[in-house]
Amino acid sequence: MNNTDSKKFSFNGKFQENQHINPLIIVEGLKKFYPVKGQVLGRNKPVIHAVDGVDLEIYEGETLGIVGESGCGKSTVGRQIVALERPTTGRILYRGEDISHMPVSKLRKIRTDLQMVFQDSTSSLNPRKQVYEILAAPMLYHKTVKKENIDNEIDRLLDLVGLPKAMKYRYPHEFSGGQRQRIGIAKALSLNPKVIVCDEPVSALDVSVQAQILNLLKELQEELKLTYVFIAHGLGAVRYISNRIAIMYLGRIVEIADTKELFENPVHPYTKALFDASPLPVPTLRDRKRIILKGEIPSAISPPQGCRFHTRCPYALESCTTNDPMLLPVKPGSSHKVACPVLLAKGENHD
Amino acid sequence: MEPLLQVKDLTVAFIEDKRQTVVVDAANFTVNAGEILCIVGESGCGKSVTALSILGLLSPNARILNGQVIFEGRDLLSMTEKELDRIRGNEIAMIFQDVMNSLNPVFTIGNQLTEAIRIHMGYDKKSAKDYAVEILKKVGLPDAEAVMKKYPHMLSGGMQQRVMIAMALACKPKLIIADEPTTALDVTIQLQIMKLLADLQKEFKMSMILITHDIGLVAELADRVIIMYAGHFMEEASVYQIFEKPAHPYTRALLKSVPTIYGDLEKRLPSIPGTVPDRYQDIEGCRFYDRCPYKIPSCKEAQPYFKIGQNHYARCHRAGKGELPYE
Repeated sequence: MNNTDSKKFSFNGKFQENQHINPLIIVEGLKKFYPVKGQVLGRNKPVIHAVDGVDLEIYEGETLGIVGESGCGKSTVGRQIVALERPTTGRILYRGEDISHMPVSKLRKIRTDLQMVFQDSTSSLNPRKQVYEILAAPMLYHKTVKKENIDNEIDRLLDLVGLPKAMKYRYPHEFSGGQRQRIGIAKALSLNPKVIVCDEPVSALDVSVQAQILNLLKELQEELKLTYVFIAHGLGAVRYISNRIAIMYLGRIVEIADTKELFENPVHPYTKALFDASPLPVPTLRDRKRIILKGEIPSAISPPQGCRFHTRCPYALESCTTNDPMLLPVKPGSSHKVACPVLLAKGENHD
Repeated sequence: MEPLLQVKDLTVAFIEDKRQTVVVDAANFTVNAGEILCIVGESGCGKSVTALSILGLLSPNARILNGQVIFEGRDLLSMTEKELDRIRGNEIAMIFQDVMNSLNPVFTIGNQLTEAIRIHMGYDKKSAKDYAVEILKKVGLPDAEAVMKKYPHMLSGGMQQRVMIAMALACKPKLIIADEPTTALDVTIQLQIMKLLADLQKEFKMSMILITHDIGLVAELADRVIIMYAGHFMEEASVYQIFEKPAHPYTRALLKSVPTIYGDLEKRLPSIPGTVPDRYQDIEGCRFYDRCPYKIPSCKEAQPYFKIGQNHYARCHRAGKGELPYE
């Protein structure tokens, strides 16, 4: 397996090896703590360790999936990547420029490149504005399109996301959930972005509509050469759309690999448990052997010492309670990295 | 053997501005003792309304226009509120998706749980408390005594759902109606709760109606499945028949559109084109007509249930005549 650095993602989703390119986005030592609400007194105010040391590289044209359960920090990473928030420590480089410490005036120019699609299309679209105004607002603010061309541009955007042009004078509540998500995507596309962070874009939708939106996102990526960060808790959708997947648990990445590799050879016990927990649409397999995790996700206010997963891990050793595991390649030079020294030491097959 | 629950010609409508909108159209089904029946469908298909009608829990603007719900020989729809109260919780219990709104935020878990036990089972305060602790342990809450003293907001989503299950189980009902019980939970917690429900259902020999849109969950839990679309039952069969030989074009399309964690990666996900028709009540023929790849003109006539095989029915005349072979 090649090094991630020497890997280029073409737009049909396949890898073109041996072309050396730099990552489009580099996330370095990212930490984001939020103060706990309602705590006023006391010297050491408790903080939520939402993201606690994440390093990532995102390549042009790829889709990086980020998977994890609620509170694992996946959405927080997404918000830092589009510079909606500033990290507590660490930095985000976009095309080599540090966007996490950039003055707002300079950041404004870069923002058009970095857009976001939200899960809840009901609350991310202004209910008092017609679709026309919703889509026109970002273009007018950033002055990317001349006033007289806005009309054409909105028609083009609606066409891109598969909505009839006649719908532009309707209000968000007049649309179904799937259609609203299409408007959310059109809004993200209105500034011709390079990177779109999709934060659970299909989780709130019905199954048959989910497939429509996933296909739409894939088509748009090929057509417009977009780079996606796709955040989700459901493995099926992520597997379908991503080239690479990072699994997060309590503010850390525990495993990252190419999609095919991850699903064929998951190494980290949490990844395995996550796979086992995903229901399979095959009734004859319902009694299969699988890891059922005990207990719940520990609080992110005081995450466990050592490996954060050791409180629920079926393979945990004494050393896991003290040693903080690093994300290491499964084989030298491999882009498949795992933060579990116990299973890495055993080799890849340990069942 | 007599089925535990028999729903006959259930028709439910919502009344808005004196206009009547039928959302469940002549539903017929049975629940046998000890089985898990899954009612599957997308949002707005009427699956929750069907479930809520059984216990008379519909919102005030809903009317049951027709039908019977026969539970152990008694028609629940013709019962008074007082009579129904003796059935609710006691013989038929319900688990909701939205736990936070189903638990009272100003009372402790112990308060709410013992209240139900005292009313339905006639226990005194002390034995109700002991029983509550016992049942909380049963649903996998190890520190049950501490949980009793807590308020709902102090518990995580998974723990709240366990409390809800404990409450539903407390009176050892014969039937549990679970409306999307795990939808709001994380994947690993979802599996825990699912396993818990399945184990307890066997142990207590209860029947269960599980309302869900999660195809994976259906495959993992159901004995029998009903597929709903736009207020109609489209297909009914055993879980194995549904997944191995789905008859109705909607069932087939629905099952294919689920992105799974195995299988071919490169393929485009087969989606169902279009959306559920707006005023589907007015559609005379098959309500899936617009989106169906197998439609022919005669589909525009009213579609009854066709027998496909043993205990396997589908509302599609083409499937009924064997005109839709598998690829």
